[in-house]
Amino acid sequence: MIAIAGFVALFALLFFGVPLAFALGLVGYLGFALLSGFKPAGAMSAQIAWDTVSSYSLSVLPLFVLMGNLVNRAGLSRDLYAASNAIVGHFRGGLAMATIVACGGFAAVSGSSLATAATMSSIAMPSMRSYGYSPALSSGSVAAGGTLGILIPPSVIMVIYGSMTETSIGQLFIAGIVPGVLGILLYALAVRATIWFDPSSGPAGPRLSLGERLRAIGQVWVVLGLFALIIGGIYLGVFTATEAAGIGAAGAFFIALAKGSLTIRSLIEVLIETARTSAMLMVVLVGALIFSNFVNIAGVPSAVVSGIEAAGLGPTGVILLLIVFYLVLGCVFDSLAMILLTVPIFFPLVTQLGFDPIWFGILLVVTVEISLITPPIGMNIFVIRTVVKDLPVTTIYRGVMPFILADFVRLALIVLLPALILFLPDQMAH
Amino acid sequence: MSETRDAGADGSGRPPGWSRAVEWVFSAAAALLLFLMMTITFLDVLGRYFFNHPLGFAFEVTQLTMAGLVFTALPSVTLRGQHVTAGLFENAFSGRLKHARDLIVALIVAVGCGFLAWRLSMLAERFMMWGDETSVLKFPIGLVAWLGVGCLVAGALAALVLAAQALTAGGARR
Repeated sequence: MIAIAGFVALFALLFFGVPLAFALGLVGYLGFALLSGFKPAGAMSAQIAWDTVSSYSLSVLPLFVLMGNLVNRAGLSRDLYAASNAIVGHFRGGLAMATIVACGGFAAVSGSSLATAATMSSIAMPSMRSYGYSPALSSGSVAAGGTLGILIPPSVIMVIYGSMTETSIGQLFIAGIVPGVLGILLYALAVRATIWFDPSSGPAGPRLSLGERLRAIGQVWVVLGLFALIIGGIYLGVFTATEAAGIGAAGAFFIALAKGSLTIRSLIEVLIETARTSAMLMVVLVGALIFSNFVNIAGVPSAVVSGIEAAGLGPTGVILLLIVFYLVLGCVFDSLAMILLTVPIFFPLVTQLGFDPIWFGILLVVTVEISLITPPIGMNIFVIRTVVKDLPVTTIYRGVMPFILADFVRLALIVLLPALILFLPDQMAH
Repeated sequence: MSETRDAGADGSGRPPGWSRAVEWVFSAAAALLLFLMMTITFLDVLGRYFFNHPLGFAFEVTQLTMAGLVFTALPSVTLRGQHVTAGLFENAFSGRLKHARDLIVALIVAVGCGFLAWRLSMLAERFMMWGDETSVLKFPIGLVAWLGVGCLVAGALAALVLAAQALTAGGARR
């Protein structure tokens, strides 16, 4: 009963525009206080706040965010696009495919989908426009490619999920690789399909000579090497996720220095910006953990489990129901908010049913990804709108449709073939 | 994911100069701590694999710089109104209603920061009393917790600055 009141209050606060962290924390604290007293609730809140911000494993967050920001400052997103373009640009629809590949590359150093979409839209959109690509296809490919940001490691959402459920962040990262690459391939197919229906929407770009191609790729090999180093290191157990993040950030720092794109002033700017982003995420996580404690002592997870058992849905039925639930919720909810609100409730259910926590984490990320590009509220689409102001939202939604179909195919593969996700993390050295 | 509401962009004006000066001091501290964290992690791994000599204190320094950088960056996030919102219907309010909403939201944030500062100060006091310190460098953990208390108070003040702004902006419309 009190749990239901809590959820109603939470939604009211969120609707009103109260920041996520404070809405979650307030409701969590009050709910906990009503169930077990104000003093324990206060002590619990302070303890959670302290434990969370002084967490060693969560320090991957600022370090990976720093890496992405530094790489971006070094102008490498432009180079990534140029390199992808050099490889696939001469195909029909090649620039759109290059956008997808470049997004995947950027995702490999950035943990945020919005950052990926924002960066790539300012780089790829003008180029696709000048080659006569239809606005629908060009904006659709940027919006969809951007979603790869949270799937291809490093990923902010995976860090949050991992710390909420005590799942290994390193294993989650490794598990994201196969579905991430699969995403790139399926998105490329979606581009081909669009071109097949309407050849004029994506004409072929010029074919570059071998020398030009090698030069373009030469610009980005350092970044790809850095990615290979940190992910390989995590995979082989050479270092922890946090150490990998430290190496990634330091590597990006040296790359930016070598490129001459870093002054003392811009370094301070990047550091401050990163610290702010990290604080933003950490505060939200503290709020979510306080709320999650309330949800737990209110007995919500066990109520959900027994409710589901009574309904007689099999494990597969539950997963399908959850996917539908997330897709619907994703239409109106921000992805981070969605994860924070639902994981405390559904995670116990899913593990009780015998599903792998890592597999569920990846399924969640892919489902949440889709919500970034589905109408009526797709954050990536809004991001593109802020960069390219004269583009109607309806055009972007039309362009994004083939990619949403590709996402559903990927989702089906993940549900039907869990081994696809679990193979790599299972091989990992511990 | 991180939808932000820029407090300055909607006509309610920039925060007063003194508050931005204070914000810069906190932000610079956050930047320094982040850079320290990166350097220490990097040197630790480098030391372990190439010189067979890890720093030893990397773990605890990472923990404390992490806490420090989140705390010190908090006032700036608050002052800029950059806290993540759910992205539901933030733009459903306009005019005087919006200013009233901004005022209430800012007050909730202020109370939240203030309350947490109070509870954290109790924790900090306990750390100090028991003499909790890190295992290698023997750095008193309570100091970092007290830093957190100070930053949370600053965060509450930043929210009050926003509240005052919403109040004057709302008043100016009348």
